[in-house]
Amino acid sequence: MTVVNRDGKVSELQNALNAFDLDQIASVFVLPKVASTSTASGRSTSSSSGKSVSLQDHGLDWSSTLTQYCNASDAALAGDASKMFESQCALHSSFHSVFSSSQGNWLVPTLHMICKMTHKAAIAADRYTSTSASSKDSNAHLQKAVTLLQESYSKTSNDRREFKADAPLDDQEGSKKAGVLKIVNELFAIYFRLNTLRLCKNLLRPVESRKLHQMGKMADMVTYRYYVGRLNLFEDQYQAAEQSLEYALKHCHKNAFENKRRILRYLVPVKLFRGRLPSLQLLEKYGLLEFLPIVEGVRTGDLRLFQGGLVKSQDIFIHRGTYLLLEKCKTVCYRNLFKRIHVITERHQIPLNTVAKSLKWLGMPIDLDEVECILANLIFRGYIRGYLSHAKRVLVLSKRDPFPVSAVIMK
Amino acid sequence: MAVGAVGRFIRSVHNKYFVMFANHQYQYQQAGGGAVSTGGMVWNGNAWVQSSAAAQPQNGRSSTFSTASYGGKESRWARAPQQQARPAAAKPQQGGPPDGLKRYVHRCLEKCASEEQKKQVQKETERVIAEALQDGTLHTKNWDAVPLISLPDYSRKRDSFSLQQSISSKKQKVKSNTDMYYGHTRGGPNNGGYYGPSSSSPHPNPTASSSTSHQQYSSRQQSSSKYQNHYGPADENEDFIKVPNFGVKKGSNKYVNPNSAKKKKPMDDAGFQRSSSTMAQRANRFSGPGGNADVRQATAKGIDARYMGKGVIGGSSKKLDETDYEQMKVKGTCRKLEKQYLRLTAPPKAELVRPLEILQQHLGNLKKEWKSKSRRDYLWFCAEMKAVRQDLTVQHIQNSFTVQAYEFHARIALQEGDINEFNQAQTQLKILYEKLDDAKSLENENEFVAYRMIYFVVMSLNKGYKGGSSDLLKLMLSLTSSQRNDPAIKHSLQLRAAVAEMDYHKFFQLTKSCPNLGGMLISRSVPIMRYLALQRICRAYRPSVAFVFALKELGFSAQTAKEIEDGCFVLGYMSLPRRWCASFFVVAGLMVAE
Repeated sequence: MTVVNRDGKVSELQNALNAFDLDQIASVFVLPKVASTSTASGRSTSSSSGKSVSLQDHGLDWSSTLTQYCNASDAALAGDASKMFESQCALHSSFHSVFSSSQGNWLVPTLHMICKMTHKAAIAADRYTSTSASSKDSNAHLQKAVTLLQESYSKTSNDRREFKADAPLDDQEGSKKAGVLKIVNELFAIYFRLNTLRLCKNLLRPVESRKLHQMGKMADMVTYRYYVGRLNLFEDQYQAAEQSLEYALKHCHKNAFENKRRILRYLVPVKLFRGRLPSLQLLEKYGLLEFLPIVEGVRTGDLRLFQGGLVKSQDIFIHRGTYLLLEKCKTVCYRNLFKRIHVITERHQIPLNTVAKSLKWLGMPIDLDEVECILANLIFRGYIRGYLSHAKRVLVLSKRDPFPVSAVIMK
Repeated sequence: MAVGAVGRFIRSVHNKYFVMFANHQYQYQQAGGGAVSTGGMVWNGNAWVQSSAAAQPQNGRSSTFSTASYGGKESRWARAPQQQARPAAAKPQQGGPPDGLKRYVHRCLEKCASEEQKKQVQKETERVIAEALQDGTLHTKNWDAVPLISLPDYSRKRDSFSLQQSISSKKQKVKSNTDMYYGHTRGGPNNGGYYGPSSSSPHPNPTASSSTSHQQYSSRQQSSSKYQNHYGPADENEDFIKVPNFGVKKGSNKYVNPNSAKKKKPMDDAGFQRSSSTMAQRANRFSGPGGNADVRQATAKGIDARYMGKGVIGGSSKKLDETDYEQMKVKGTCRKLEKQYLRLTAPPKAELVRPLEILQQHLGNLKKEWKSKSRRDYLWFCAEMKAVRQDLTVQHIQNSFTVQAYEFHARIALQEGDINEFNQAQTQLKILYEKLDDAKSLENENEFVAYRMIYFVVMSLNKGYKGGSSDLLKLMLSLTSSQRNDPAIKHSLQLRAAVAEMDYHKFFQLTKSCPNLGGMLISRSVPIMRYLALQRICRAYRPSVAFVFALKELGFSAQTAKEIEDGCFVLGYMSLPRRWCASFFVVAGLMVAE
């Protein structure tokens, strides 16, 4: 069974501290991946924690932090995810004390790394212990991680020193607030995974009030905007969502393919609802093929295609929370359908029979009263300018711009 | 040990007298573990016993006392220990303030709502105790029976009172019929008058006269007096509103209150007498068995701790295992079928909780009763069901019977339009369905999943609901494919889609064809949908629309002229903000009427 070389770790950390290389210090605490149980050659349950190491440097005691890190690494290499998580939690808490007693903000990258590791360890532990089906238990580790991260957040956010955005991280003057944004992003990620979105809102306010989301590293800002966009989506604030997600997409690093894909998963429905369709190349490039039939359906007014696409990927959309938004896009689909009929028949008075015929041809027979209902909705929302006559069973369209584009875009 | 008890007592009751008293005793305790002699009495760690040693002079005692660390009213109390010493020298007694006295003072002070009241009551209690000391009856008096000190301005809201009075007057007629059967242990179907009037009940009714006098009081008093007082003092809290009781025993042997039987004061002040003595007597009813004294004892004996596991959780390192949980559960032994619902304020007593067979029988009877023609009103059923649920929860019974009970409650709540109760029941049902997986428990699961869906739809239409659509989405995600094909669930999904698209035509069609009891739920959102649909119709149809058609679209059945007229008026009322629309409908209605 492989174990981590404790003394080696001590010297590694010592060197990093001596060199004052912030990223190197952070990299000391990277946890190895949890070995799958097949490759782990025998777990020794007797040795619960290995020997403790000791390291003091500039008045900061790294001993317990480092010991716990070694325990966590051992557990990971042995394939024991929950023990790894436990050790990681201990590591995180002991690091909190180190962090608080440190001056300046030079330990912020390390804190970030540890937070990220806690998050990952929690997910791994949950995955390994997901025996019971009930959702409460299966996120127990993640919920513990939340507490730790919240503490990290408060430690960084409650620093009194003034925050200078572009100042480098140092060990005297720097404000710990530099670390807030990244931790907030981690917390967002966890909250979304746990589906407790109201807790996100508590984080929004302090960050926005201190304008922390407008300074700092671009990567953090993009992530932040991504989550804010998703939050807006959840609350049906589509315009704000579009802005945030667009910002995120625009400023996302050109090589961050996976991230851009994630952003697009939410941006495409929003834009679709607001009348902007993505090109085929875009969907293909990012592998967002679940949107294909929907987009095509909306473009051509093909109700059958649209409905089919929606039902097929229903579970995915529900899981992401975009299903209801896409249902709303059905309205745009109807509008385009009627527009096509209008263009084809080139008349301003469309008998409803024609509409019924076309729907039947699409394979979705709808009775006339229902057609009238749909049209009434469209007229009410402003997608169609005209009126219905029930007695004559006719849709009368306005002579001037019966299908205003602005109605769709403006929404 | 006694010191510990007294110490606790000090903390709970801020009564200077007892501080003094405790110090008094404590001093004796401190003077050495062994025998301490005082005035011929010896404290052997447990009690004061007469010793054969020479009696100390009384003055010695008093001097010891005056060194007690008690500030303030020394002059008042300086005599007290001497007075106590004399009878103490005469015969052996229990040491310290007697239990009954402690309970008595506690009860008096509990009633106080404000600091000022507390102070006044303290003064009163001190006076009473001083009297008792002087008489020498401090230890011999039965403190449980002493009338409680009445609170100085015991001001109650008048309006809640008159309401109670009107309720009680209405219920009196029913009460005289229906509270006879309570004494039956195994009612069952053989007893024809189980729920109905049964005049021929061989029911002992010794305090009938007192009961009639009690009917003059508000129902609140009645329910608190005659029934299980275990569930906390009920009349002290002004805002405590009890479900009007039907099943109250008219006269029970257990709760004979000698004081109340004699008094028959005339009614005044909305039927509530406010004189301090009657109030004290009223409060005194809680002194009987099952009353405050028992609650106090139960708490003191640690039943509370056992029930709540306090002795184990956090208190020791012993891990709880199955046997501990078994101990903590209450095993019901009550055999009476009916029970009034009272919120628990103390750990439940086993003899008041009904075991499973009784509950099953009871539920069967309730179901029959619900279907019968002349059944009681919904409130009564609701109260009974709550009591059943309470008994089930307290005994940790979670099986298919629990599911049945909750389902029944949910169904009757739906039928009566009680959305709150329905929501409570359905939340519990969700938990139960997740927990249990035998076929019997889950046979109605789909029906209730459909209800849940409709409930969320209704809520989402409700403007005040801030929950968002996440619950709906979660529910949709959790549907298995077999569930999606279930007719009730399919219907509810279609309903959801119709509401999302504002497809009013389909919506009203679906409302008409709602399976099971879903119609009761969805009818709550019918007015809102009607209004929204009306907006769309008015906007879309120009220059006019046949109102009959409009009515049909909006879910009215416009077959007869009368119905058409009614529909028009409803719509006219609804569309008041849009005047022209309203007048249109009203005119249409008038035209039809002609």
